[in-house]
Amino acid sequence: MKSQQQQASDTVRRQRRERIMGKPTICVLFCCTVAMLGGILIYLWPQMRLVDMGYREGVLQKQRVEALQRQEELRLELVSLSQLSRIEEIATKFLGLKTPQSTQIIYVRSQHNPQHDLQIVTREP
Amino acid sequence: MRRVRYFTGYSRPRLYLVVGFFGLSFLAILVRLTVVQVGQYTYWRDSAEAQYGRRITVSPVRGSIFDRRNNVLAASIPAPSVYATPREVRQPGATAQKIFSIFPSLSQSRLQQQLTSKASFVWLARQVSPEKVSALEALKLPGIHIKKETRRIYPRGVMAGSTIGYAGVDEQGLGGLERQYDNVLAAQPLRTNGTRDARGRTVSFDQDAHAGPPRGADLHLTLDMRLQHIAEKELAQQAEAIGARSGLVVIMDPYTGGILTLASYPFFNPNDYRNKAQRSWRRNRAITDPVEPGSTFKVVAAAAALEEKTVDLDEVFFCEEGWTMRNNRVLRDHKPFEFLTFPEVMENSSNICMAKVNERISSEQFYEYIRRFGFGEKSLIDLPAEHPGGIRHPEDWSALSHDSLTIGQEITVTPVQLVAAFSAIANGGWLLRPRLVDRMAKGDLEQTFKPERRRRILSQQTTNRLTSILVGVVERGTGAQAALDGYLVAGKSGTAQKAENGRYSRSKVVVSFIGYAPAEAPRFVILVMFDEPKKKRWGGSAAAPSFRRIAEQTLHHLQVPPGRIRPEIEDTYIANRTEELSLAEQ
Repeated sequence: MKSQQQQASDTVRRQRRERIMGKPTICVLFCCTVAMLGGILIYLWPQMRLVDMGYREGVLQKQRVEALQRQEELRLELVSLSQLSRIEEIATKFLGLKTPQSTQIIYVRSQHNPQHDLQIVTREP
Repeated sequence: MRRVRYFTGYSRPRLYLVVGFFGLSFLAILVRLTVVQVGQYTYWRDSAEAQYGRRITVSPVRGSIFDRRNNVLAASIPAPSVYATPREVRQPGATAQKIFSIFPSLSQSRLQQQLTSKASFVWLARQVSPEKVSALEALKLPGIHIKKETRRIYPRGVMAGSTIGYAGVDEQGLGGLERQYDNVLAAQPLRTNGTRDARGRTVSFDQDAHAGPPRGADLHLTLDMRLQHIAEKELAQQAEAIGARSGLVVIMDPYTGGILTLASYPFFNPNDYRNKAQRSWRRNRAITDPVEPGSTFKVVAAAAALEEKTVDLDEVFFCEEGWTMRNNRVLRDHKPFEFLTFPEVMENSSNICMAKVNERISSEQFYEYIRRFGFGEKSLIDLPAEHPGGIRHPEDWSALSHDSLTIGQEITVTPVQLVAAFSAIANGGWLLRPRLVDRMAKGDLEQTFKPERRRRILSQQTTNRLTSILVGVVERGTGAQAALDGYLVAGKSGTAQKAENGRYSRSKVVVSFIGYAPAEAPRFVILVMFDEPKKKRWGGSAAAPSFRRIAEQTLHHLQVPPGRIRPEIEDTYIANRTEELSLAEQ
């Protein structure tokens, strides 16, 4: 009798244990884990992207600064090369040009705005 | 529905023990979290920021300088510097050798000496090329660091060098406009925060750093590079032709006070300001070195006489045939004259007759006119180290002073003062403040400077009469070599003996010519001055030809047509300029 009662009790306990440790509980635990991992991933992914973009931004920023510096250097080189004294020297020594005499310079009145749009043209001596 | 009791059958004390253990653990964590997050918040935040935070200092870029047509005159380019912290250097000998291989201009022994010194910081090379710095960085030498800096560049070399001035190795203005507007051109460094990773790489910047380095304001000058080039070319040619020690040209717009050209010969190259040979030419002699003006100063006496109506234009004076005794002093003319009308006195620059004209006004009155023209006080041009010139008060004058001042002796004036005075005659009687900066711009902000009238010094009638007299000087008098075909030029020549050992030198003179064109509607006033010419020692022969060549090219550059087709255009020009002056006065 007692052993039957004990058997019944064991069965109930086993059933309860199975109920606790059964499939639904595992599912819940699995879902929780996945949700947690997913949450972590969702949180970390933008952070990682942000860091990555930060690196890329840093590189691009450096390139931009270097390009602007190079542009400034080239601009100054252009200014240096277009010095009037240098151009004049090239024009007179290498191209054989001459500064026009005042008698060679005539003023032409513009038809559109005769009072202001005067233009200088030079003529052959 | 039957309630399920999950924990039935388990030992309750054990359950309480486990729950209690975890509960206490969580409580302990909670307490610890509270202590860390709340109590020690500042400490841990600072520690964390020190680890991943990065304080970034963005070096400023000095503002550029442009001429009136936006041509760059001065700008800054990157030029990093190399420094060492000797304590961090591991193998000074090998390090010095490696640095020397990249910078052969440095001394290897000196480098080694620097790297073994006890100093905590030593500069190894200032403002070097970025390429060399990249090569040095690749070596990854411990204790060797790079500092990002910029270097001032003057791409046009000597052009307007003494006017623009120069900036030092730390980009601080040391001379000329660079010094005068140093606080405007310079900017404060930008200090911002960034984030770095475990390797020390910068991950992100604050928004402030994205806008680029902070820039100082840009200066836009009244100078015109083409006119500057014309003036410097003529100045150098003529100075060499007549063997002058130095020379200068000043061109000013008489209606705005804007200086179009300020050229000094020998030229100063601001790129090479540390060169000893350049040092004596750093200063802008047009404002720092006053000189006796000579006969150009007779215009002041003539203006006083006309304004006070002590002389008529057709009045005749006897010029004593070349020499006379006045106040126990011999006064001479450069050639004998007999009878001359007042305009002819000016045309021929007779010292004797001019003294006779000017003796009709008192010393106090004459002094008042001299001061009214701005002599003896700073012209307020926007350049540093301006000299006010020298004029004594009438109480300190000797018996000879009145005559001496009439002919431009016993007084020193700066070339810019002289140009401002002639501009007053050219513009109808207004003394203007000469200025070099037209506007300042920083980002979207812009400040434009208006012409600044200081005072009216002469009536319109007097200036008209003076102009007609000065036209006569060029057409018939000592300034004949300044005459231009198709244009009326008004001007006056001057030859001043230099004082030497308390006496006037017979061999050393300062020759000059100052005038404006077109006389009926002046567009500019030009002063040409040479110091100690060895040939052609008269203003009319040494300076006037240069004036003519500069004026001719300037007229073409400004597109001022010859007189026959000009009047209606000039009327419009004068009307506009007079309106500008009126607006500025308001």
